[in-house]
Amino acid sequence: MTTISLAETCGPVISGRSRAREIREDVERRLDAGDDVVLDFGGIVTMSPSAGDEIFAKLQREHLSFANLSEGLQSLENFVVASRNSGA
Amino acid sequence: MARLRRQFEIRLAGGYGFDHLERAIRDICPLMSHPAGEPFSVDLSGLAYIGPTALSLLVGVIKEREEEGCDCLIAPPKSELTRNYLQRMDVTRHLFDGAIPESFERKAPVGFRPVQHFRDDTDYWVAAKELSQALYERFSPDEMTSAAIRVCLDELTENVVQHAYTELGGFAAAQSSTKRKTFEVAIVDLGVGVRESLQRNPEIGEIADDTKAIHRALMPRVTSTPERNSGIGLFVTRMLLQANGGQLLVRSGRGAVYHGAKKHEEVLEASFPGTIVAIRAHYDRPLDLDHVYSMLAPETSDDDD
Repeated sequence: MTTISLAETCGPVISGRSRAREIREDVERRLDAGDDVVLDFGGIVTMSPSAGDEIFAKLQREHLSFANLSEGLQSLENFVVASRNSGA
Repeated sequence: MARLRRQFEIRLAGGYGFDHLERAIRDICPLMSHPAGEPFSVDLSGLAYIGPTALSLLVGVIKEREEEGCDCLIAPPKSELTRNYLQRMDVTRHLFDGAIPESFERKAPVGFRPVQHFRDDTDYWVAAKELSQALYERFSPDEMTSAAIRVCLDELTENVVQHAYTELGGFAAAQSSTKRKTFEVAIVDLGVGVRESLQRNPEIGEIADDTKAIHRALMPRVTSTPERNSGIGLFVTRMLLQANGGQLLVRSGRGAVYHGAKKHEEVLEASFPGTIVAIRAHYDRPLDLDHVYSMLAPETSDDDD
């Protein structure tokens, strides 16, 4: 299992779709290689809606989990996942 | 100083602040109809003040004409204060093929950044970072406010790259007022406009006019590219400013929608080809994204009105 500290990768704010896409693609590579991945949000102050869409909504995969999500980011996760799954 | 030849000229005089956008459009946008390849002049001699919104618009329109082969002559402001401000904002950075006239040579100031011109994914991120940094230098926001500013700038500049469908890209500027404890950010593009952009999504269908289009764009999950984008950037910005007591203005085509202390909409005579998004926020009040996200529920629609 691999734990990725997003604060160490991005700093306290995950912002910008292109940056989040890089994170998503890295995670997808690891998952495709058979790894279990934990994305650790400890130290993340907040993220942009676009970043949330890339990391939460476009990355709905088994063997992937999130740790230390704030209440606000949990709410963002629920929102973007529901949006993408509803096709809205 | 070179004499201004008799040629097409636009003249800016007085002040062009956040609340004077229509005057800025009226005075600047006639330049957009100027024939390609023909020289023009911009008379700023009577200019007293120009805020980030009008400044981004001015630089964008001049740049657009320059890329159509028009030579531009700019008469600087007579006011030394205004001239210094334009120097700090490096207003001519993107013009004159980089050869800056002496009257516009920039001294290196803290808290000011040039009008940013961005065209792609790399550019917009750099532009957002630069403008955020300029604001941080001026009023040292706390961590959450810094984060909210950066996120808004990323979202709004990315919107141009994703949805404006223009090779020219976008123009953005930011400035703060220590007197009023506010900051202003503007993003301007000369692209297809909100209505045409949204109507590229076949699921959205016909939209009757520009004002209705802007209203739709401010709703959650509305985007011209649902396969790529989530359509909540502008909605979250709106909610953030509402909670802050700030203002959001979106101007496109003949529509203008204001959200904030005074919410209203207008259908205007002067059509603006492209989109202007301008925000004015209080930096001594919370700008809390976590709070805004906590209000999102999976079934959230536009329920603020």
